Amino acid sequence: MTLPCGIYSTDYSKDTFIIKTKTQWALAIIFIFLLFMFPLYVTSEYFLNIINMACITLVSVSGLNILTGYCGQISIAQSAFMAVGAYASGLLAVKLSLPFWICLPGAGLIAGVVGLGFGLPSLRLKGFYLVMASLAAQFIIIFFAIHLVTVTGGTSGLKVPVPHLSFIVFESERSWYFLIIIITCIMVFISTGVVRGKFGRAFIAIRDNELAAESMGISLFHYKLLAFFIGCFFAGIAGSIWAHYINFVHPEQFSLMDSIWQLGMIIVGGMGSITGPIFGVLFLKGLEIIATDFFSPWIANLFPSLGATAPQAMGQIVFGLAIVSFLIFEPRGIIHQWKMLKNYYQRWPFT
Amino acid sequence: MRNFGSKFVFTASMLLVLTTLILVYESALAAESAKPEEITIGWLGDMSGPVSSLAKQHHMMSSIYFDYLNKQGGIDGVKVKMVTTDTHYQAPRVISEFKRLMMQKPSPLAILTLSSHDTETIKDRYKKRKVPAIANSGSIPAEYPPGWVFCPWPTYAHCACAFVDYYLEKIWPAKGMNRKPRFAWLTWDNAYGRAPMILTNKYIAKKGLEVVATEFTAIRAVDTTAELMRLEKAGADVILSNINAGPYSVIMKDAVRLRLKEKIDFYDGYFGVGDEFIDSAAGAGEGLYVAIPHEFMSETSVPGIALMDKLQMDYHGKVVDHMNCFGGITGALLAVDTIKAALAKKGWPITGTDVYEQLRSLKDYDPIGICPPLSFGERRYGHTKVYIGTVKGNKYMKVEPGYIECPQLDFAEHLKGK
Repeated sequence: MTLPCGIYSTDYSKDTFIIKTKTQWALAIIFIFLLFMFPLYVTSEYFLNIINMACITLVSVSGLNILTGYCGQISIAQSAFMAVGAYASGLLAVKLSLPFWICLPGAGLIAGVVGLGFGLPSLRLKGFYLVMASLAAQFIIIFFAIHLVTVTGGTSGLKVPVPHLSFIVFESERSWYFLIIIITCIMVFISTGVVRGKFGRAFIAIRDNELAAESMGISLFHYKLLAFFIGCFFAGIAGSIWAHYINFVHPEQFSLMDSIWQLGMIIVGGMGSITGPIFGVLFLKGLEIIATDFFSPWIANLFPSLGATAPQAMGQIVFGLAIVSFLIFEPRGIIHQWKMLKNYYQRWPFT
Repeated sequence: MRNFGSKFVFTASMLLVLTTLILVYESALAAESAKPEEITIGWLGDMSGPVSSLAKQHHMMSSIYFDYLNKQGGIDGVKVKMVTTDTHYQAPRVISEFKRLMMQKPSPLAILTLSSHDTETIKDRYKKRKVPAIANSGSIPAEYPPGWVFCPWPTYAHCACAFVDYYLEKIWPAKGMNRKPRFAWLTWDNAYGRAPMILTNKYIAKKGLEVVATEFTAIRAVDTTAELMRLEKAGADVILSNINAGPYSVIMKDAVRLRLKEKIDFYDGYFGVGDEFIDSAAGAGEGLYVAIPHEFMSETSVPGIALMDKLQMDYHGKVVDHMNCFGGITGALLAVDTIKAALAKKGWPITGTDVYEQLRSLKDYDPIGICPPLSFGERRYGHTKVYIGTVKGNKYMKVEPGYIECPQLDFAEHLKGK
């Protein structure tokens, strides 16, 4: 966080803090308090479900942001790595009867290791060619999910048990909300730590100029693979939560379109920033709800002769138009507008 | 100090506005009276995604039937409200749209749905939320182990095995070949395309026959030449598929072009039946075999078919012949008649559990002749009879005048895999 006018850090260790002043601590505590009080006032299961899904997507998109936004390695296979995490977690729970608390990091590690394998082409490929290599990863992983019938259940899918913590069984949307929000906060905090440290600086250097980074002594081999590992680790964590939340894993849940949408979320939100994916996820999920819950029924009521299909399709058209308009008028992402708003607020009334 | 005070007021007022908006979004709870003003039946399907062209037929037929029913006074004077949701064929949307349906006031007494993907994703949630689903999907994982999902039709595997029996009994002997027939698969590489494979392959093996080759094709394939040539090279006499009507026309057109139709017979599952196949195939569809678990659209002497004809003409001015139209009206009839039965048994108010009990205990229910009588009990498919049909003169015709019985299948074998 930036410091208010007139307040300075007096030593290096204080300068490295994420939260620097008492006011910022107070705001952070109030925010976390409101986050945890939220489901006590919002009891709608539908709304809580939307929030839970958005948070799961945010975990995956945060990982993709580190890989693509900070390290510049474009990947359209994030959904497939979520599938790796989902199946890994499901299989650890079903075949080895491990509790969710072990399946979760296990799934992340397994997805990270798989990501290392698919990250090897990144050492020789860049840009469009790396995109094609990640496209291959998307199809290969789903192919194995369909064809390893004895392991994954193939197209019959895999039933995954509900997690529990002693007497608490995570079945209701509210209980899942608390679990998912804690994991999401931890993962966002980890991603903040990664990008603020040595790794993050190396990733940014590689993104900006690989040759210059290598000449400065940054090992491209080491850091590119690390970026893939971290990005896929996040995807694996998201996949694990997904598997236990839905209670059913199926190859069709992790399509190429989902990978592309995740990439779209970091573009719309703003690449190369921690809050960018948060804005991207909230914006696109919110737009989807507006198109489905408000715009489509409004069109259906306005023009009843159209039937039901046309209004639903119009909702999708509005969704696409909104994204295209956004990319035309604010290509730097929502984060840019947020920074401008923050600057205006902080300097008011002098702006 | 003045600036800090103004900032504080601004921040506090923003938080207040946000909190108010969130609280306003919450809908008020309404007490349910003994006799409701209306009944809710949910409709859950893909209206804007990859299978929307199928779902809209199902939705169209269900909605015009409920409209027709409401004009006649509804159920015991209570109107039926069909709430439509769009899953977009995505698992997260299936779950959130299901939750949105469950938020309706009054709560849905039944949910009409289709597509194996959507049904399998939330199968356990129907039981948890005590609302039965009437699915237009012959998917085994959706129906076994038995839960709260009911399907009027036999499964895709039942239909394919019935065709295998018919092929061995009637079609193959007429060819005068001195050997056993060789089967092969050309189907979609997804849950729906693969659905009948495991049990049908086991059934074929039990008959002492073999499946010589299996090929998969993309959902929107524009060319299947390579797959067909490989199947021909493997020596296939009959190619089995489980592909939707429109895309299947590509396979038939390629088969005509490769002159394979003279040597190989083709079969597709019941979602291969539809006007769009006849229109897209443009004559290439002649001779395709299908297994159809309901009456044909041409049988207008059947009261149910006459009703479908009348409703489609009244509402849309044309008659669409599509499997999902049959699914839409049969699902709607099942929902309405089981609600009426529950009402006759215990009176208002009735719940999803009451409708589930009626569905489960359903025996020899006649959906005005649209299909054979439906009985559930411990199983979740309504009947096990099919017509073997073929395309002749750009129309679907019955090869035999009556239904044939599907063989008994062990669903536990399907879950074991290959």
